[in-house]
Amino acid sequence: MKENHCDKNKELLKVNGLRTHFFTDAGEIKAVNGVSFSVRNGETLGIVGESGCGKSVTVRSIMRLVKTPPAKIMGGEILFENHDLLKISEKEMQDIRGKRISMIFQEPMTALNPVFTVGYQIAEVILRHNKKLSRAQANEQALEMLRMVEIPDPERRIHNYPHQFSGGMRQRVVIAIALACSPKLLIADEPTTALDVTIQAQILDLMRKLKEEQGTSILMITHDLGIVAEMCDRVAVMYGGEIVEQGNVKEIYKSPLHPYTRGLLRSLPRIDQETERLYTIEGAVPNPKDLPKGCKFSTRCAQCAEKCKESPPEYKEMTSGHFVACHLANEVS
Amino acid sequence: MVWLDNKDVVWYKKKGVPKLLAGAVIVGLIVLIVLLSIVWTPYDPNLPNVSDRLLPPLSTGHNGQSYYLLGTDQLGRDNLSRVMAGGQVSVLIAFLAVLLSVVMGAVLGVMCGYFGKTLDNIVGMFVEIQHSIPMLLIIVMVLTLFGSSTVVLAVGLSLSEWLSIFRQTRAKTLVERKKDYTLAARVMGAGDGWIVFRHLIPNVMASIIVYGTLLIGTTILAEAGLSFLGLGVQRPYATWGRMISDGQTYMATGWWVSVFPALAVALLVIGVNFLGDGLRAKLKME
Repeated sequence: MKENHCDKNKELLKVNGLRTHFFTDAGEIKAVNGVSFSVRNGETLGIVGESGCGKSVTVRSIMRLVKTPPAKIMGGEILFENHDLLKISEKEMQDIRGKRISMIFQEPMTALNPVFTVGYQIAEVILRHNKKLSRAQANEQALEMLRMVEIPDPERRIHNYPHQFSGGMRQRVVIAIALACSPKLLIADEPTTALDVTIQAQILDLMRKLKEEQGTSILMITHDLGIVAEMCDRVAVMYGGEIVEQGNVKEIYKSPLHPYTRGLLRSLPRIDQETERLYTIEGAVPNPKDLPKGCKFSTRCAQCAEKCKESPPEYKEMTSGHFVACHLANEVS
Repeated sequence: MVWLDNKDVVWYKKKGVPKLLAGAVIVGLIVLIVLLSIVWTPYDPNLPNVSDRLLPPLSTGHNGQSYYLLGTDQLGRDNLSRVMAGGQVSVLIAFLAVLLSVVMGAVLGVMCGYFGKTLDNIVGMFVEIQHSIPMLLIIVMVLTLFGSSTVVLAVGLSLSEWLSIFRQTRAKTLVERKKDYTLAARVMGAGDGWIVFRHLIPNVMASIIVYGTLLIGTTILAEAGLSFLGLGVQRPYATWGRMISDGQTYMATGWWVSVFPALAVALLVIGVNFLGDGLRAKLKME
């Protein structure tokens, strides 16, 4: 707590009505369609949703890493420390990437360059953003980073190449690179999906520890609700390129308002309940080229009413900080 | 190479080592001898000596003092000195041409593979056009336009050879570009130039080195071929190709005139190919 010198409630990142569309031969695909959320200082926000719901495109838009063409950010604003990241130049963005906002990836096997030692790769980032440092000083810091991510025998390992590390160890190196410049925001795009369950737990513990130590905010993308429960303060549930529900993790797990969130939670096995067969949400994600006119979830929703098919629901605040986009939110909760 | 200094992976190093070693020894030896010829040859390679014409190997000259280890040619010039000096042109041209084509092919290949779009289309079009013109025609054209000197010859040869390096590098870059580490580098604040020169080129370097080494062999043969046709560096400077060509008239009476430069070419090409193969086996592991 004591290192939280900045205001806890201040919004570090605020995304307003972000829209990223893909222009393909088959037509325009609205991958991210009016997404709004915010990450506060020192907070962990989880974005959950199934494959193809637009969560990765959302964070890549924040980093301005979507490839244009085919993708294009059509609208909205991304306020990071009160600067709109969509309005600054690519050069300024390069200075922000890695220094203020960092990102770690799903696949630690390919996220490291195979021809350089891990020490070199960590030092490279440090030098990129601190031009005044000497190579020796950067190496010193790189060693410190390896120690911080708890890699055993860092003095020897710093001279190793990525292929000499296991998956979990590589992910630690990736985290070390991401945190080398003490960024304010760390974006983690399914950081543990490619790892064994035991290693997953270790990596998550490490991330939580580092977050506490450095006061970094984390934007965690995952499809694993267990990770959200363990790691996040707040969660945003995405479906069909939109956020359907957002709020405090505890509250959402206790009283989910959106039928999709309820479905997701019901399809998890629970330790305190005897379940014969797990619940599944019927149907599949609608084709992004041909989304339903009304609520995006209406094609799969058990409670779907007439108005759901006709008009998209409003995104409204039900209780303090708990947002939902559902016509029936009042009635069914 | 540099990226294997750990004791844990020492067994990897043994792979391809005999070939690599044999190649390095052969090439090193030939290059050393050729370098030596710049400062010292047994006799002046270009000085005719009519009284010692077409002496077989291991014979003594007319004056009773000169000793010709590899015999003399049709003008009585010492064959050993000529083989040594002839290597200067061949080796220089081969290395220069390969260096030029590697730089040109690798840089353009990585850039086209990385940026794609317009640049790739334009360069790709030129490559296609050049592919439709026979290589010999291009070289003859360059040589007639600029005269035949070492540099022109090297440029001409590299013009015909950079295509294969370009294709190889471009294809490899397309694979590497898709890997997360380029994205990771971007995420860490790297620009295009940084990614191309600090990440992609080092990664495609291994295959470029191997391919470039093998290309040296091809280039030596090509240069010898051109000299054989009379398109190479002009008389009186000895080149291996010209010596083979000149000697073929005397095949019946003085086989040594063309056989020794031919042996030198063959040996160097074999050595270079061993080197390339050994490197490939060694760099294959990651």
